[in-house]
Amino acid sequence: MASVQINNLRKEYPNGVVALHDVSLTVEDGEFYVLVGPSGCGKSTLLRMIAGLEEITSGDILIDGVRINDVPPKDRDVAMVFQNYALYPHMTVFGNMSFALKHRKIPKDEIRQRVEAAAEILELGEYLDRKPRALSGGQRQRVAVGRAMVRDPNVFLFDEPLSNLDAKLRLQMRVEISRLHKKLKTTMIYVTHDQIEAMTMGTRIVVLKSGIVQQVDTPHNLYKNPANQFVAGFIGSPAMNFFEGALDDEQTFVSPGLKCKLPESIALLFGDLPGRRGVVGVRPEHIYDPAEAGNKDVASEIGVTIDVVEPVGADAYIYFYIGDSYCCMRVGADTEHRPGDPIQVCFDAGEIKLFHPDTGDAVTSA
Amino acid sequence: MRQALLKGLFYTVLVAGAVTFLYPFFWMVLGTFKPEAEIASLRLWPSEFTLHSYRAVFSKIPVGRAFFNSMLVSSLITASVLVLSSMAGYALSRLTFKGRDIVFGLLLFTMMLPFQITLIPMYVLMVKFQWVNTYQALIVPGMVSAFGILIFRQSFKSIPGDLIDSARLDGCSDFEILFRIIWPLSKPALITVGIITFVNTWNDVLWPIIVIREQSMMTMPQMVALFAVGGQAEAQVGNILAAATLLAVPIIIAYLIFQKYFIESMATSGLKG
Repeated sequence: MASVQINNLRKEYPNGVVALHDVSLTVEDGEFYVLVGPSGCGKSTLLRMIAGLEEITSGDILIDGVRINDVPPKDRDVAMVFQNYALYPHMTVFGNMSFALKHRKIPKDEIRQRVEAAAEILELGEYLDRKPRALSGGQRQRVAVGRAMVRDPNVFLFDEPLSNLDAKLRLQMRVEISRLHKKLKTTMIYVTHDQIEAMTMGTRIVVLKSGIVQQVDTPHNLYKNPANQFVAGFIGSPAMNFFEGALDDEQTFVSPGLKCKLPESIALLFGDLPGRRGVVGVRPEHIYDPAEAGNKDVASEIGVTIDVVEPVGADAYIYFYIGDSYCCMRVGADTEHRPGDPIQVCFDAGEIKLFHPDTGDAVTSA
Repeated sequence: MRQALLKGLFYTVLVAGAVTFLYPFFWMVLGTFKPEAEIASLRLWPSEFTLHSYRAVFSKIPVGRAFFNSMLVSSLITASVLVLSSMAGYALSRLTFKGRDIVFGLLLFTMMLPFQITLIPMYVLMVKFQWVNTYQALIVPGMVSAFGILIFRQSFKSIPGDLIDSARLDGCSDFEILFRIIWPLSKPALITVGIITFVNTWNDVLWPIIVIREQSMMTMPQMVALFAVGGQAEAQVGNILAAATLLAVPIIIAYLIFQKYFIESMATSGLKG
């Protein structure tokens, strides 16, 4: 087990493209740390730099306080699980899992013992003599995890390991990897573009955009208190609804197609914003049919026409336009609303977020 | 009905093509077993089988020694090309260094140069090294091939980068990545380069004739060529055919063993046969 410290890490390619801008992070010992962001945000590059597979332009990486910038990958005591499994096709499952150990000249008995122990945890015992091509996608990914496990590394690195699996297998492997982390208590750094994976697995999550860290926080805080509009839009599915506008009197927010009385606590925050302009954000689960809002403190009612109703099992999503903004609200699966129906909606006043109109930063206190 | 006709026509053309290529070969092989007087006829099957032509060849030239020389030279060159060209192919496909593409461009350029252009400078070099009439002269110039490098580079490029990264994390050096991970995954490319190098080296007459004068150092094709045109065959077509057949045997055996990989590699590398 080990902590990983990243100080002012920068990656610039010879063609001038900057993949990472002065990234600083601290991964605590035993933490399940998730790097999440859209494609091209630099998350895989960061992981590969920790593994030693990518050169560092400037900055430092420390594992357990020791600077490893110039340490070759094999000596960093990290193990990596790749998106496409990266199993050696010409070796059996046993060969794949034992390859690194044989390379380190570990005694044969110990190798067998370690591989069999990992195979038992991952339920791979009966496949040890098979070649990777004779395994299913899920089994291959388990072999890839097992190969990392037998090395007993200080840090596990996962590079989008579940992207190639179907939805059901992905869910299963997600649970298995989380269980594995609880069992091994080893530091794990996990890269994904899937925010559901990030939210369900991570003890802490880093949201990256264009090589810049947007926010580092627990999944709950990231969802409840996003640092900026990007994080608010990226975390959560369906995404948060945004309305750009201005406060026209004490408490009334006006945006194209929307006129809404905001709670005083939010209205006060507009005081510091240029021209009392701002971006109001509301999550789909915080938009209600006024009849079903119960005793919740709601902002004023808005009349809309339903565009699409999307049942997703336990819930349904209703899509509609408010001005130019395409919005989504979450309702129960038994909803009787149909596309074309005119309905009234209102926002949960306590859950409205406000963002700076130019920088996108969250505005939380006046 | 129309489809059956088309299919029939297709197979007729294929059979005609195959016969065009195979008939002269079978005619040569069977001709070695015919009495000399019968060889000129177009009839394929001998009226009586005789080994007279082979006996004449073995008695007149040191076939065993020439065969050994050819086998030694071709094997060493093939092994060397596989190792050295794959190392260069790996560097050009998997390592990043300044001037990599220029090096690759230069290598491609050397493939465009006909051997005749470098023949004289190479011979002068052999004389200066005092390698004339030695195995070095036959082996060293062929130890690495631009063609091999090109095939390996293209083949190695198709191997997923994650596999190589994974091997690096497992503790492999570049040599180990090449020989323990990439080689086992590149059998078709290795076999293609191996066969082509072996065949080209085995069949080469011009270079051995330039650098080898001593009969004990001569290779099979050199020996056969000199036997055929140098008077030792005594104008007996049977003797010449027997020598040519002996020359072709190892190549045919190698092709029969490896043809599956050979065709696979030709198909995947987009190389014209």
